[in-house]
Amino acid sequence: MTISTGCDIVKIDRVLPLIESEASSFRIFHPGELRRRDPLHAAGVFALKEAALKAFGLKAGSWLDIEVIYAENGKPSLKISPEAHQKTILSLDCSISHDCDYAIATVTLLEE
Amino acid sequence: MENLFHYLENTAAGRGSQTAFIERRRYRRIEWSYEQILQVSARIATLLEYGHLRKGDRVVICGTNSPLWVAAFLACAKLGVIAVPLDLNSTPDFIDSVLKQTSPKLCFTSLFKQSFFPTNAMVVPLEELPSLISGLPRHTTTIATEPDDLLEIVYTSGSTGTPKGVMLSHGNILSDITSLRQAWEIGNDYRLLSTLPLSHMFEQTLGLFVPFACGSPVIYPISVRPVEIRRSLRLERPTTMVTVPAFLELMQHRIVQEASEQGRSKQLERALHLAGRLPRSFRRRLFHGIHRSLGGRLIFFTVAGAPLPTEVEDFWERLGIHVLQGYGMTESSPAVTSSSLLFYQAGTVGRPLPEQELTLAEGGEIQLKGSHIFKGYWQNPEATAATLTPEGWFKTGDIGELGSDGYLRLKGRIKTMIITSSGMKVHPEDIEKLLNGLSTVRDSVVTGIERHGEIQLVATVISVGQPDLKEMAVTLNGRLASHQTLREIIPWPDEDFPRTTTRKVRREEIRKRLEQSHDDKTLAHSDTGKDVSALFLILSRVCSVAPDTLADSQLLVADLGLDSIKRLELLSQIEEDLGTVLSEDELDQTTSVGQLANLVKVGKAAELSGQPIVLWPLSWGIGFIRVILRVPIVVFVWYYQRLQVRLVGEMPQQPSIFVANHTSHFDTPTVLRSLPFGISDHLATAAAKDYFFKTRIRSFWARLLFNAFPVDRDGNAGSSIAAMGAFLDRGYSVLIYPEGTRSTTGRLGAFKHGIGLAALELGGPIVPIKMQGNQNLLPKGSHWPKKGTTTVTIGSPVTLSRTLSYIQATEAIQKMVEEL
Repeated sequence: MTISTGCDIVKIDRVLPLIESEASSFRIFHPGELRRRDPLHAAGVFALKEAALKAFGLKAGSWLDIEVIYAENGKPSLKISPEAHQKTILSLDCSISHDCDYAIATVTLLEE
Repeated sequence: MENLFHYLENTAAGRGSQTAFIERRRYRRIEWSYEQILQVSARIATLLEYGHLRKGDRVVICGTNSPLWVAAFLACAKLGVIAVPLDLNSTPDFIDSVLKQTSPKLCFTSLFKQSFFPTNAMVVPLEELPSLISGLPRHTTTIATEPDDLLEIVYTSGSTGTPKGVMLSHGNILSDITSLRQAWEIGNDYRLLSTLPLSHMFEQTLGLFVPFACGSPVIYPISVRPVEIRRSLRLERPTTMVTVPAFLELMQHRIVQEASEQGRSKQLERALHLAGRLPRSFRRRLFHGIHRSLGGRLIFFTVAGAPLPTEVEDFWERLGIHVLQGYGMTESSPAVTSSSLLFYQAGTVGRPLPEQELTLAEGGEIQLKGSHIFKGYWQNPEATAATLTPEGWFKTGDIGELGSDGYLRLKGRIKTMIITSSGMKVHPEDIEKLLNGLSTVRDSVVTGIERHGEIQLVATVISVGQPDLKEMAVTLNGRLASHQTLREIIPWPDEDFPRTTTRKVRREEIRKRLEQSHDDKTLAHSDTGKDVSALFLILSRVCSVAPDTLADSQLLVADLGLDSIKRLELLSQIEEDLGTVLSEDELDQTTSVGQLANLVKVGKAAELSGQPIVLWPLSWGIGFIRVILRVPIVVFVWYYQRLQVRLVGEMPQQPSIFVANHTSHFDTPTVLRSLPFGISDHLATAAAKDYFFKTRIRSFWARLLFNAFPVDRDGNAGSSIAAMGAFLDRGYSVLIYPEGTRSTTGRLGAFKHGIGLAALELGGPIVPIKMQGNQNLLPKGSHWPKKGTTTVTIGSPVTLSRTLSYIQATEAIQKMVEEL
């Protein structure tokens, strides 16, 4: 049993060019993830994906192997493509926070 | 006078099923018929009515050119709602100002620009229109309009920076369409490639309404970046384009440069010299290689928007492609004069159009009158009074000369507008105002100079003290729209700018001096190729470093500070500007600038190979041979396999994606045996690139027998999805095994998530197939089959919702197969 963590911080205005370009948003986001195309929301999703890449040890560019889902109460959760990660996940939690110009996200993972 | 919608609907009568638009998407190519576009716009009209939009209300349309843009515009026209088309590259300030002036009830925009619109406005992304209107009835009435009823308000930025809304009525546009159709007498044998934004009147009238009324299809490319335009020319083979001179200069530059890269500069020069004395058909044969790269059917360009340099016109004429110049502006709906294939004179902008009045006032200023002249500026009576005389003449601000032959020659522009390579209009005064507001700048001039085959904006300043000009450019660019971005700020060497006797800056002289000084510099470093320097420009933009400080040996991460966001920006700009799709894991800590340049070159070579699929296996003859050759295969399989097929629901009526489990080499022949002939003879099969396409012989047989196409099991899914899209576009269904390999246990393995991506991006119906038994007949590792029974269950076709993620779509498809 191993525990892994990942974290990431991103300056919100740096995400703007990524959501304005079709080529880059196509690489990073699933169609439903950017229903709200405001930079604050996108920065949170981006930071959480980057944190998840670190926690799961996925190769660079595996953005689409991770999906960020928001519950109705605003709590984010993660879905990992079974193809990208075959180990059994015992527990997985994540969190996003924003303040002024920055968004930060952490992921904690317990796996077999 | 009729409503524009009504007029276009009438012209389309009798050709409902013909192609009106070809829409190029990332992985698909969709043909829209006249009937479809009118039907979709009638449904959007219903949606507008449900939103309580009435005649005279305003609707903003801010999106890329597409059939949906056209349908949204026509829906507004149908209801008498006033459209306000906005360029997608408008700045938030500009959009804000237009929204304040027009108070629209609804804004159609792109998903990518949603954040530019205030949250309290009713915003509908054009991409979501199909799902919003599905199931809605067609709006049956078209509102009757008076000639003065407004069709649209088209915004021009104006040199003072305050946007001015040009009011154009149904009557204005119809009058211009009628005049153009009379002058051109064109039929329906043209294909137009659209490259200028539909928020420009030239593109709207000449590139949309006239071709629509004449029955000529219009092609909308994915983007207007040079790489996609070249791809569209090659693949879609248009006969004409409406464009700006800068674009022709860019293409000319590219042709000359390619010849020099191949060491054939002299040959090209001699051929161009000789071409002047040859008839047109011979010229086209002489330059057949160049024509082939442009699709081979390009007959003429219609050019307007800026003066066309004589040498550019001459170059294209020598190649055998007409360059027809016209003249006009937003205020005149827009065409005023035009050349045509029948009447044409080099160096002129053609003859005034029928039923329009043109006169030269004092000083040679061109003034216009007629039913095509606009109704004034929206809520701006001062500006209207300044340009429209009480007698109804519109003062254009341009100087011209009318020859005794009736042809108009433009002598100069009172305006100083710069037209960029992509057709965007830039008023240098807007940028100069910002520059001159800086305490370190005494005076400035912004000009467009030609570099690397495109028009780049360069500022030259007379500064106070010694400010850091690079830093100044970075700060200023943060405040400018993307099409206004300054490439460089250069110190002006003299004490003052060259000026006329009335103290006006001689802009042209400054532009020439800047261009000259740049040419001298490039001669010194001319050893780097075009793409490499284009790559350096992208790198310098993304990493905020000067292009001349970049070197091949620099490491992207350690030396240029490339983090994950910059890496994404870099890769998307390479994809958008250079057409090469690189995956992120190709760049790591050890990648140098030189290695990146190599990756781009390799990718470019692959891209130039053309179609996403090999076309010979689709020919009628090969299809026939395939049917014959499959007979012994099916007989062989039939001998060993007792087949039971169970059909759940109906067979699909349109090209679909068949998704099956995979346990044996018997699987593909089994599917072929199970499907009806109409589908099995139009089926392409995904096959592992590293196995079936390992040698040329193997790939030949795979293509011949099974119409196979390669799938890279661990690589980028993009090229496989593009291939699937190309088959679906041509009416072929696709068979794919998403597990990626044959299962040895008979249990279903995890599906690769590329299938979810493919299903959502291609939009075709998914048909699940479950095969049981083949693992006993010919399992992985065995070389000769055993006799046995195979049960095949074919599910009903399902179209997945676009709201799913690719992971969810993959899971849904896997479940569909599992549950059969």
